[in-house]
Amino acid sequence: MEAALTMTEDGSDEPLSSEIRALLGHYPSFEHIMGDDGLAVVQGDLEILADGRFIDTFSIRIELLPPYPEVVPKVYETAGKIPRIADRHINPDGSACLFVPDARWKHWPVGRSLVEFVSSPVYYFFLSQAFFELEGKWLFGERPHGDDGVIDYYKEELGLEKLDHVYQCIELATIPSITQSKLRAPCVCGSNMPLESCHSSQIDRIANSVPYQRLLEVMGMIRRQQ
Amino acid sequence: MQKYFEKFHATIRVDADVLISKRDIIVSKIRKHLSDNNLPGFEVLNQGSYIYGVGIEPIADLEHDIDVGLAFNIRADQYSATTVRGWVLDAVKNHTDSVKEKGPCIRVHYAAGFHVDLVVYSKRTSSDDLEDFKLAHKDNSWHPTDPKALKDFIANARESFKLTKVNGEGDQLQRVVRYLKRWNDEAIPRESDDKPFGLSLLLLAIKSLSPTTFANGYPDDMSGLEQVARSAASAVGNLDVRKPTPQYENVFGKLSSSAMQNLKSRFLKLANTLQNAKHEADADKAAELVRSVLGSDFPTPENLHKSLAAYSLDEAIQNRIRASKSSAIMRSVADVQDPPKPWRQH
Repeated sequence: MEAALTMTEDGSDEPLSSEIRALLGHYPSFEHIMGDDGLAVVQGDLEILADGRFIDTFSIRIELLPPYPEVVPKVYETAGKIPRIADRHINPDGSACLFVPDARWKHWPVGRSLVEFVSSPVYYFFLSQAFFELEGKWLFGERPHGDDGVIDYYKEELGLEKLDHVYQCIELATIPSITQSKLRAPCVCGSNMPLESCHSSQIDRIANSVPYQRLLEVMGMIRRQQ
Repeated sequence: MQKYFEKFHATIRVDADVLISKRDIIVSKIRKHLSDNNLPGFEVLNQGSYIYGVGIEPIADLEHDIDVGLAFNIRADQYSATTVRGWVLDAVKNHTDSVKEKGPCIRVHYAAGFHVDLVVYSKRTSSDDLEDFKLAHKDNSWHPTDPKALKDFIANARESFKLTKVNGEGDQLQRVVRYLKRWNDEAIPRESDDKPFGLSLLLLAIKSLSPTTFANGYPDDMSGLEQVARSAASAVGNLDVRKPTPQYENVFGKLSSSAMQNLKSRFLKLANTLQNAKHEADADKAAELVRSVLGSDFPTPENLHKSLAAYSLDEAIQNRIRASKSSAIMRSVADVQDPPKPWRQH
């Protein structure tokens, strides 16, 4: 996959991947260029339209980092329209913070196309930026920075507030198979309902969408905050 | 006079942001309840005045309202209408102080002076992708309906008014419907069986209004409003405006004959007052006449001149463009589920 997304020195011999071709077909103002080290890069103007009317345009650059698509492409706003500050959700290297990495399965699961990447999370990020310019508030809300934002995501996914409860749910998500007796025992959230009819579906979803190693990292983040 | 009407429109038009956030809260609550109880899920159908862009600020004891359609992916013969309404009722019954069962909807009242009307549908999609909607009525029957086609019908009607937008904010059809709704509220400032619904006035305007402008092409809302009022006042017999979707009923059909008489007389008074105002050479005097039918939010000469002086034209235009873009963005994301929230690593 990585090879298909890089170009040779003169940029002409190796065919574009069908993914990039489809993206250029969908966004005619985009162009495919060769980045540093032969990295595949797409750049161009992303037009933001809402309810049939023009809202704004952002010049963007998308770096398709290897191994694609396991690594989420990096997206930059290149014209300096968005201040490079934390409160505008731009990383120190200028890349856009589209979503917490743990939410990738929801916003751009592996298997979805590059066109879907640009037309959904990337588009919504810049639509949110345009709305912030107009109204000074975030269209869909925002996550706190750093670990707090990651934990905020899990709180929302689980519908829980208490860190201890979130921790216990994530811990259960790291267990390959939850025993029947545990499923029938009271849920860790303190609802007094059996786990199987309370938080087991959310725990399953987390277990199926976030790698084991990452769950351990998140448990570490929570521990540091407790 | 057009400036008076534009100022009036800016005063009465409603900002839907707060209503949209309430809708999202209640929809999540219902979704959670259904999923917790292993009941079928639904698709949200945004409908009603705030989606059609004809919402107005309420007066007196009236409330802001927001309509939300919940289209369950079930066949109407699988469940009774009462059963499916019951799922929604159970989900919302402890949500606010008051939940009322109305004929076509379940009304959830909030203390802050507004309510959400939840309209429950069954939706069956045929093999050729045709959708068949039925509305769950309080009387435990399923009524054929087509909320999506109604929305399309209204959107199509707005197409011919594209060039009548003022500073990009609202077209003449939307403005005239808002004037009519406020006129209606001024005459009957409460919920009443004798009062036509907002949707009835919208469909009436679609039937009888054509884009109306001055010779220079600028919208002439007063003449447009007069056109609708005159057409309604001069209708032979009872007003008859059919809903363009099942059950194709007359949207004024539920008014009693005395309420219908009264409505037609009110339309006649509105049309004649607007005609007199048009013939009044002094715009300020004309405004006083219009104020007598559209109510006290119609600007007086003093507050119109004050508001015009308070903003430079540039500022006013910029503000309108900003508001219009923000509204377009809000409308465009009304159906987005689980949108990504921006975050920052460090």
